[in-house]
Amino acid sequence: MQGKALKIEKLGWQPDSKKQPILSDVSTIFKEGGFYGIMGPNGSGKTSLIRHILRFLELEEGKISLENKEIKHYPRKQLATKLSFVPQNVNLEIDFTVYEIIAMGRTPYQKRFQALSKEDQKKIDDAMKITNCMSLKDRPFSYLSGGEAQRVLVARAIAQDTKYLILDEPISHLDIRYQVELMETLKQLNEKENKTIIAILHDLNLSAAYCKEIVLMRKGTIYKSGLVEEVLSKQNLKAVYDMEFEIYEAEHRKQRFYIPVLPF
Amino acid sequence: MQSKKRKAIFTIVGLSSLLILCILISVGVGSAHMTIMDSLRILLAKIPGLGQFAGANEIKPMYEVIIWQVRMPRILQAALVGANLAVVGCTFQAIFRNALADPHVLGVSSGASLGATLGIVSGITLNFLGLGITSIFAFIGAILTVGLVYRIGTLGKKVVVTNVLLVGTAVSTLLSAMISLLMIYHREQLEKVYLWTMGSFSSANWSKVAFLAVMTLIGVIIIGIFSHELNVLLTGDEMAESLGIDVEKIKKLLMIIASLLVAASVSVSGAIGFVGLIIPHCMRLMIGSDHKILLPVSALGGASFMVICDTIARTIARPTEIPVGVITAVFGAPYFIFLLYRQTKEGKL
Repeated sequence: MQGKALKIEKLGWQPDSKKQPILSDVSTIFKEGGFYGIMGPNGSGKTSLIRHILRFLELEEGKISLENKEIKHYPRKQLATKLSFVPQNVNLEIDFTVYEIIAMGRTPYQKRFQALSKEDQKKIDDAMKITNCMSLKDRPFSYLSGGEAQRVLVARAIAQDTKYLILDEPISHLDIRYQVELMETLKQLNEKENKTIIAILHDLNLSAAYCKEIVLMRKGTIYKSGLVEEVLSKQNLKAVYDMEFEIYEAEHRKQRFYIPVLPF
Repeated sequence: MQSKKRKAIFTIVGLSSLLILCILISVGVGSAHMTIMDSLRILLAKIPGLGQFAGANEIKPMYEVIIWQVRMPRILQAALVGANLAVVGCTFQAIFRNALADPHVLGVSSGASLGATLGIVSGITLNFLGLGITSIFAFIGAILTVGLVYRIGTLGKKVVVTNVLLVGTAVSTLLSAMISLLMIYHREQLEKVYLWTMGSFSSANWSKVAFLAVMTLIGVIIIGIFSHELNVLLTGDEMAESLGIDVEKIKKLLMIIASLLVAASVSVSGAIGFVGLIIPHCMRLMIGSDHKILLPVSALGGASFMVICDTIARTIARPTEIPVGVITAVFGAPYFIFLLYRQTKEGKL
């Protein structure tokens, strides 16, 4: 079990143009099977962290390893069979159908000039079922609403069939119903398929309800990480967001509510 | 899925037939008075085994020279250049994810034009594999320019699209200024240089056709190999990377191949505009963005379009020949403006 994790060690990043480092001394571990929420104010380094994990940015300082092997030593194609990514806001003005977009998730497994195999097709179908995309199958991707498009991109990541799913603010621009729906899908993937979920989130209430662990970031460093109740405490939130919060427990169910105390 | 496949096959068969038809008609029209049937018989006579049935013996030998040494290479060159530019346009539009990218964005044409101008004003006569001094200088100019633009535009670790496009524009402007300067000092060659930059197939010969055919075949096949990657690239660089595609490497490779293709085209026929821009867009409207289909369809469409334009160019104002660049622009510019208008209205610019 030791090796089955994504390990970040002393990750740092300071682009030449910046006076302050964007990331400094970031160390944490994402264990396989976990459901992690990365939280923190804007500019705290959340996106930079996942961009390093996905190798969109070249590692300059520190070490990132997956299953005991540094990610920079993985061929990109192999890495794509381990980590998948759901981007933030996508409006693609391209006339691919939903099915074609989801099928692209099979890219790392496909050989050149080969049609989709039986297995590819099954994975695509499964991904569409889990995300409820079956009815959208033949629709052009550019015609979808924000919520539908997000579902399709999650489906694509599922079709990619990786142990880790990394999501950049997957629910930030969805209405509340779609937010809950998507979090439910992620929960199902985590529990039934044993996928590791790593998602940048802003909503305290939904994060508390769905994540198992929280990585709370501030000014390019990890301020606290661990179990939800421990990390999302009044003191920690005050330190990170510079705001007071009230936290309430629901009476008959296990759910916590976070309410910011307004400055008037 | 099934209907899409059928539509693709239908389009490819349709466009292939259109191309053959365009070529056959084009062979038959021109200044020499010849019927289309006669020209077809001359062509038929060239096919081994069928020649004896063509009955081309009764036709004047001069006509055979016109068909075989003048019209045929010219038409084939036009078709190859058209296919070439359309495929490059497609490729650039995908890797730059910019609908307005055309084969000339990297400054290839201005580099070629400067090279050609130098070739023309130098007065050197040279022949290498059937290519004249103008073509050779143009090819070298094109390659050097792309190399320069590419070096400056990709100084960092990543290919920054905006930088590449801006450097391309800046270098183009600089080189055009140098051409103007050269033209002022060599007024006696002014007309020749000017006509060259407008683009023309009037100097076509079999050597040029062979050179272009080899370049186009290899280049288009290599680009075609990466059609799936081009599709994924359309959904964004990071998405492509997260699917295991080495975006930087592929972008660089395709930029180099595509630039070589443009360089080959421009060096034999001058800078012909708009084909590389409008053909991919028209084809995308017809069959969608899937490059597995879009690339071959654009090649066929570009080839047909260019053959038609060149036929018009050499026949409409007989005996004067209008530069083919004028004809493509007359078709292309209004469409380009329409595209720009639509994009601005949608707020994408």
